[in-house]
Amino acid sequence: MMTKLLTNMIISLILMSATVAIVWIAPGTYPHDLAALVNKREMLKAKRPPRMIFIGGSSQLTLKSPLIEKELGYSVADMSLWGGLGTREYLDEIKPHLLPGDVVVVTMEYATALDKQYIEFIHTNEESKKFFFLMSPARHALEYLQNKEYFNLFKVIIELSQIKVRSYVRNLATVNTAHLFDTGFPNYDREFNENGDRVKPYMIFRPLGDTGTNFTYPESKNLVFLNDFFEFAKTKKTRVFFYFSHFPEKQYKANETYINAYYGMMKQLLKFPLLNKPSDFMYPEEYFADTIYHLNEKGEKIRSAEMIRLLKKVL
Amino acid sequence: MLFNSIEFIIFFSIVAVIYYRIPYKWRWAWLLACGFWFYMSFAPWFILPLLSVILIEYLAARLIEQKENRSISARIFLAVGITYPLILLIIFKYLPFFNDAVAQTARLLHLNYPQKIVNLIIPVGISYYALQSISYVIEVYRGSQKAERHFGIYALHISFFPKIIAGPIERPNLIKQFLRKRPPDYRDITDGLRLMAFGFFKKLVIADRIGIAVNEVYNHPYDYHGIYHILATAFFSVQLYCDFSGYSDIAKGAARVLGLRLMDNFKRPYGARSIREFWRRWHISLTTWLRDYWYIPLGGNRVAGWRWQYNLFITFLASGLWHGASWTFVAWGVLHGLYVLAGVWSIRVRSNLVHRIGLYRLPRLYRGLQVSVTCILVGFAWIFFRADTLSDALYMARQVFTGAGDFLSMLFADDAAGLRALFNIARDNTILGFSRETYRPEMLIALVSIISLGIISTVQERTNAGEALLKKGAFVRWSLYYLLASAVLFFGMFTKEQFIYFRF
Repeated sequence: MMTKLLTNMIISLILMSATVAIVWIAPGTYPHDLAALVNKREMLKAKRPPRMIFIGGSSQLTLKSPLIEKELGYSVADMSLWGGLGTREYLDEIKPHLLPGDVVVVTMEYATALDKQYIEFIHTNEESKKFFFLMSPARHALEYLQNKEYFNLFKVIIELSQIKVRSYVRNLATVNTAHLFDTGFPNYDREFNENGDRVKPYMIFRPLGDTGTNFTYPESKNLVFLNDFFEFAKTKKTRVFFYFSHFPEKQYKANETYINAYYGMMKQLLKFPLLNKPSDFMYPEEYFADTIYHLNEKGEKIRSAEMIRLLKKVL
Repeated sequence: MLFNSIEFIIFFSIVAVIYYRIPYKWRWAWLLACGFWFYMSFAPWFILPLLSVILIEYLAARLIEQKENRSISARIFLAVGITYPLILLIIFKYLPFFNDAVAQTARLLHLNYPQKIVNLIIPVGISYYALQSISYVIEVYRGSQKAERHFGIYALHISFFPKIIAGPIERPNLIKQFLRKRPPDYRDITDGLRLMAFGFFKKLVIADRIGIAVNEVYNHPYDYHGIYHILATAFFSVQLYCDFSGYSDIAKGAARVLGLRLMDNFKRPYGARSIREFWRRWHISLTTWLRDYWYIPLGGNRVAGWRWQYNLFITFLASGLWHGASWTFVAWGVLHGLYVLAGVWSIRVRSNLVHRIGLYRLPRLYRGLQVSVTCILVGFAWIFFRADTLSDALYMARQVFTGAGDFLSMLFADDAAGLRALFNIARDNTILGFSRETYRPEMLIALVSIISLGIISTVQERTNAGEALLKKGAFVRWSLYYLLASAVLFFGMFTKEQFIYFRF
């Protein structure tokens, strides 16, 4: 009796595992903004070397990459998506894709270096972890197994499979069969260009949204990972640069002490070049769209032109 | 530890495996230890009121048995056995409510009442194990149940983990099952697992999914038009049924895996043809408890007509109050009491009407009409059950009529623009609590699941679906199991949403 029961249970387990595996392998979209990570990874892999890879939060999403490509002669991959993903984690993700001759340009929104609550949020955000899993499943699965987090591994696979299955249902319900087996974010092609820049400009709102500005003095332990990445990049014959993100004048002045301390620390700490000083990208409010992180068309034109000028100096 | 958590699955697997591996004579101890551990996982101090009830009821029952039948001293011990769990229930559950009620009355009368805030955490399951222990001492007093001598078995009867949190409110005959020697039975185990899987389907796929829409409308009733109040209330009817009957299925299934049988708590309640029949199908363990230990001791129907109607009404009021110490539950109980009384008063008129229009010649239509009217009445009462406050409930109850009226008038006037406006939602970025990207698949999954459940219920109404399934070939059975498991795995909402009846 027990043998029969056990056999049936094992058969059920194998059947269910096989179903999950099929769902996992089958192409499909994930209706979640962070699923764009998959599309960005594919974009990066498809770009011909030498490439210029931009890593940052949504503040860098409106970059004029085609212009940078034209002016500097690099294939540009704007990997930016959301500051909450975390720079350390993002840099880890692109490591396997680096090629000799590549240039990596890193920026960090001030909140990710100076707001302790936000830093804590980044490192505990399960949603980011889940979607980073999609970027390199094998590596992450191995990490879970090495850390003996078997249940968490099971959970993340099931959660991602659920999102994919629901996306199938959605596409079938809306008779959107042409896009049934797309990958990544369902509307990626409509929202991003071939370089990964956001196509649609941000809406204009006043006052500007200013979450994540509870600044304190920076801690070097939160930034040393940049040097670790630089050391790795050297082995891949890849150059790395850092630049300080744009910030509205009013908020900049209110937090000048912390920003200066940050600049001072980065000058001493970083083993690779800084492209600018924080004050270089201190812009008037009229350059911003909805939040202190997002530039409007006018601001972006100026920032991209300035970026090209700074990069030309070091390349 | 909620039933719908991975922790419970692991806990239950360990319990079941060890249960069947240890010698029979120690199984009760194992289940008792697991029951206490399970219960203390909610909050360790919850064990104190539980242990005190177990101890006092055990002693009361033993002493009742030792005394002469229905003697004064036996009555005193019976009174202790009944009042102790009730006192605990009043302290933990009803004191803040009574305190508020007195304060409100004092304010109305311009009296000075020094209202102190009394806000105690209610130990989970207290409403269930209090009633269960009361039924035990009463049965011992009546002589229909022997007082259990084995303290451990009695303690297990109260604290058996599948039913301690939200019932079923078992009768003393569960004790006999703990004493019976049962070898592992393949059929019991597979039946139990099937029942548990079906319970998970109801809870995770249906209840927790439509619960998002229900919460959205009920938490912001003033942002929604009446048509959404109707929709949310219809959803809530399904949510509550799937949530509670899903819980009961998991509890019954878990007990069945261990070779024990818990009583049925639901028998397809939305197929009832009247409110009285609805109560014979909904939360059966509570209804029968109230019938046996409240309604019948009050005199039941063996009294004068007016007194019988009073008994009926007061029983529904008690049912409302049992669910929660708030005016919304009182209103819900009163409404059901009035429904039943209205049914009694109108029986002749309805019977004449049915004969006059010839409805009795069309039994299917007649039955369909009865079921529909019962569902509408029950659904309307759920507004009071679910609403956060009485004023929200009254507002929504009014809006339901406005919503239905507007909808029908625009429908008949072929006013497409008006209908579109009616369904327009002011809230941005979400539709009924779902993001704009996900609401379509979520609603579709909910709809298909509800229809599937409806088909299963219809089949069960006519035949024993479980038995019928076992007669099918292996391919059909395994395909259905596979579908059920896949539905739970891929469409389940693993958000650890609490069972609604846990809070009672």
